[in-house]
Amino acid sequence: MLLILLAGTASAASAQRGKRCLLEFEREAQREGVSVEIPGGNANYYFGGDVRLKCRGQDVRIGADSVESINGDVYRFITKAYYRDADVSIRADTLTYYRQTERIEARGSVVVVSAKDSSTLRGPYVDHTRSVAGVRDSAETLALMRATMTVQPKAAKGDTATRSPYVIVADRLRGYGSSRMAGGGNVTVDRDDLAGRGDSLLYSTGTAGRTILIGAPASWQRTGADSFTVTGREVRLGLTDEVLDDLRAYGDGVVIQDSTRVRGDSVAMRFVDGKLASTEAWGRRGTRAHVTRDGYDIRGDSVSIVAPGEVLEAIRVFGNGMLQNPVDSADATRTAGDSTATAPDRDTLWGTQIDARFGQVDSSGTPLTRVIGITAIGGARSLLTQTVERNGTTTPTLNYSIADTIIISMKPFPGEGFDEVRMLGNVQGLQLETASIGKGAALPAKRGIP
Amino acid sequence: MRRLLLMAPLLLAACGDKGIEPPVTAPGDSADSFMEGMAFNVTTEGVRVSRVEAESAWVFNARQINELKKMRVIFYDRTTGKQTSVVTADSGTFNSRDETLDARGNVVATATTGRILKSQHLVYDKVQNQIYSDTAYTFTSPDGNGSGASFVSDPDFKLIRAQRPRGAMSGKGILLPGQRDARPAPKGKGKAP
Repeated sequence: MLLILLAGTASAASAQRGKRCLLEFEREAQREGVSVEIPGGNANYYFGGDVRLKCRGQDVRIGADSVESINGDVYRFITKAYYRDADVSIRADTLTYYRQTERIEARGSVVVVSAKDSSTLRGPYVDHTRSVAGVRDSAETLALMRATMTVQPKAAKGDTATRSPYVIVADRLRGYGSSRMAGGGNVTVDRDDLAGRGDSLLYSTGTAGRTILIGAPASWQRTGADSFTVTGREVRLGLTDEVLDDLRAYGDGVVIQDSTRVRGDSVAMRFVDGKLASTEAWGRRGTRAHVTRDGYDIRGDSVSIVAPGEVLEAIRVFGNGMLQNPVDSADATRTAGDSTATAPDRDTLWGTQIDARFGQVDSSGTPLTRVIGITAIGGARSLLTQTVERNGTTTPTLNYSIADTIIISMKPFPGEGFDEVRMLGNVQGLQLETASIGKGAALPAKRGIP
Repeated sequence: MRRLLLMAPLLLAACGDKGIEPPVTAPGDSADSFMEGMAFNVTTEGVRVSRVEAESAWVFNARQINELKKMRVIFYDRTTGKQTSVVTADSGTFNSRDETLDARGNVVATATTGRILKSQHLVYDKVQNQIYSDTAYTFTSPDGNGSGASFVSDPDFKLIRAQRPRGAMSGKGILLPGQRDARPAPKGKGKAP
């Protein structure tokens, strides 16, 4: 990426390795020049009037309205300064090069453009320091005073589509070498359909590049048809060849996508070909992973949502799992206006592990995602409400069951409700029917006292 | 005219008594004296600041100028007395009134620092302690070479001010971002034991 635009100039080094720059005028200075000999045999030089210099025999050009060279150590390019080589172009109000420390200071309206991919860095303050053996193992670039970096993402092989750039804005941006960058202070990362926010940013390129947004909280948002929002104290984006394939939120992580809300201490999303393939959430120290979707509540030590191609396939809950159906607005057990009525019962399933499977059905040409079946394993419990027919009349029932394993199969579309509930191992249960309420219990006859 | 004719006898009479004759001066375009192998020192408060040498010199006393051919001017440091630069030219004019030297034709100024400046016209102004040229010049030095439309400098070429200058650096050059020195080849590598 670019933050290392100036460091990027180091890439030109490969072509110019072993060459030093012998500056020469491209044309005469339009005003005057002054040479002042100083003690030690060196001289200071001052030139004015659209000074244009180049490195002899190299594709390196540098100039400004005025140029001064102090003792051969400091070269200052003042007003409309520029530097161009095969890899990078720099414009600024002033450019100063310190030869001893091999540092470039660009000040005022700085624009750095990479010739490779047109990535740019803009800001009022940019410093670049070269790598020096024993001092700095890699070149460093520092941009202060709210720099803006526009990064052109690398296109995948065979991808000829125009890709809009990432725009990164931060109070401070610092690049190390040609593969790492850090940002600080109200960091924003935007691309036409993506937006990230955070206090700090870490970015690394390569085959396993990483972008980390840290904030209170940091956020990453994708807009459009498959939009989602991720927030957390730390949001990490995993990039493979600059393509997002992994997104994680650590610390109060929350992912919101459509009607799905995933909350946990940590949340991870994985992408395949740009589409969300899975979402995972973990709890920590008393906090549990929590997923809500279309009124369903899913809680557990950890939750995994498998949705290849953004089509829901399975939801798996591990550790203290709980799955609740949506509130039934037509709950027959509730009485309108009854202030003493308790919260409505919701079909609930508990288990050490819960596995809900989903399938796609066609509803008049519209694909629908439906629950196919649910399995609770280990200390499974279920609380189910249903209406059943008794002697020709329907009556609500409440069923509470305990078993090692509970397997629920749903009626095939377009049917609704449970098709079968199967319980295995250490089964205990209780079923209450409204029709039975008020009836006397069938108790054994009292026996006389002997 | 008639008056002049009337005065002629008087003038003729006067010729008979020569009286005090004014000194004979050379016409403006002819020298009062001519010298070969001329040399003289230019001093300031007794300190030699330069030495002017010429293969031949025409001295015009009235105009207080010396016309020099194949001239050579040596400048000295006022403090140490060491030679600082030498200016040679095809010809030149030394004006002893304002102590300026106007050198013309293949003017070459060579400083002891190695700087060499060439021009077709160069003026040395002792009062201002400056040399300057109002014509195009070129220079070479260990640091580089260049040219310009005109310049003003001190005789030691320590402070040069040029108009419309250009030039090129020479020597080792500088390392710009992205440039590295070539690594020296490992010793002994590739050589026969």
